[in-house]
Amino acid sequence: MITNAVESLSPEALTRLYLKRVYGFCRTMLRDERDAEDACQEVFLTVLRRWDQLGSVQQPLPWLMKVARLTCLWVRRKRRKDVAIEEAEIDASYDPGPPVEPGEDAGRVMEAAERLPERYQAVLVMHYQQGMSQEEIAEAMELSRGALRVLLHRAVMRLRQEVKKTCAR
Amino acid sequence: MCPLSDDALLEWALAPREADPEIERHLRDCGACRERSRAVVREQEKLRAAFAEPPLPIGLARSLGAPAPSALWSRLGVAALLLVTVAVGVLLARTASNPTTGRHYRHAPLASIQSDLGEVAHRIAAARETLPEAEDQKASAAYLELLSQEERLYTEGMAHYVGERSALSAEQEIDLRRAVQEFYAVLWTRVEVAEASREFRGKVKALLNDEQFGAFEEFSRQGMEWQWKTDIALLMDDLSGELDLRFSEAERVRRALLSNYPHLNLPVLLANHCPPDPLVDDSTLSGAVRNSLDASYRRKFDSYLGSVKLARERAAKIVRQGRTQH
Repeated sequence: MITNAVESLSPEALTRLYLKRVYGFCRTMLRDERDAEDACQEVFLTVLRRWDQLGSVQQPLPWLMKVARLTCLWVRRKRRKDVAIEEAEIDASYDPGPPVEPGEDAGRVMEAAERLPERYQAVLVMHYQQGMSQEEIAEAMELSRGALRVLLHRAVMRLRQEVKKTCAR
Repeated sequence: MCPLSDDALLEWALAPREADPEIERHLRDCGACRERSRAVVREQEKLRAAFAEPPLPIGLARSLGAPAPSALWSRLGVAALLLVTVAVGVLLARTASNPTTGRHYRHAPLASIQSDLGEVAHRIAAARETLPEAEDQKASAAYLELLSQEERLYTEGMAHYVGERSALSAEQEIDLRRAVQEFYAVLWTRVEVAEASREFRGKVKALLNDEQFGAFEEFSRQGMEWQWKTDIALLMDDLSGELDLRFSEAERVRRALLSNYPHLNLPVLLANHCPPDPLVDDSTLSGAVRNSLDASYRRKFDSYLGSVKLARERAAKIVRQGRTQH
């Protein structure tokens, strides 16, 4: 019998394989080292708690990212720093401008990313940092492939818009 | 005018392996677009660098890290992997030498075009959202092309499906396509289309035999069903993104949409239509969605409706101008 990816791993092996990636995601989403460590611990505790139910999970990465995202959302709400409040300030008809220039300061790009809605941040981190395929991101975000493609597209456009605003300040 | 829009270039850069091969071909031939594509590729590199993975704190690695697996388990793991690889290889070789030929089954009407239709529907929705306020010929042409693309896909899919049931003569096929195109022209310009729909159905009925007309009706019915579901999925995604809904709220909105989102009764897919439009036209629907939201989201929802109205007016203007020019 061919075993699936999660069945063929132990919880320790899964943690060892994905700890760095889950931490990277949480750290970028929460922008605070201690919050990210807490969230990361919570994610792998969830893995342990639900280990016996994970037999049907074919791909651990999207599943872990889904849990990581929900955990980060919970942490963000707990500390009431949800950036989504600022989303109303983004003008839909505002010209997103040209692609982000190579000389653009990475810190400025991240500063702009922080002002995006959580969903946009999550897909950008999964795409650019985690190098996940669109199929994997769609699974993690519980979206169809088409909806994910649109979400990712919009996230980049909004990021351009925000980078442009950051530069104008 | 160069056919590659900024949106198309970005999509190409986000998923190069899945991009339309036409784009690659065009980039080989067009210096200006090649230069624009380089800027987008550089942007992708910049964003990858900006989102670089942060280093793992040693304390966390220690507290969560586990001891390395024993050498015996590693060796067993490799042996198991080899065994599985060989077994899969044998299975594939057997399947290849015994192809199941001659098996026919009837696919669902929209199956062959559903994925392409979904793709175009998403692109239409995204394009409409970013239509510029000022007149922009390039954006208008790209938007109209997307609408035509959806109509073409649908018409071809329909002719193919009807013909599969009972072969269409060349004349029938031409007449059917012409009738559909003419009806689309009506849909683009008229608001009240019930009478035109009846006339169109009558015309198609006269063109086709009973079996073909049955297939046409089935295709239309499934098209409408597909559009309803796709519209709700797109609208949910849009509302979740624009209002940054929490999961529980998103679920309430979904229920409101499922109960109130109107079912269109048209013989063909409505390309010049975007999922949020009924929110503007149908006060029962918008009221149900608004009431399903927590009070703190309602102001955002109202401004979302405002932006939908504006985008729709812009799109309608482009369509009107497009029809006049044709």
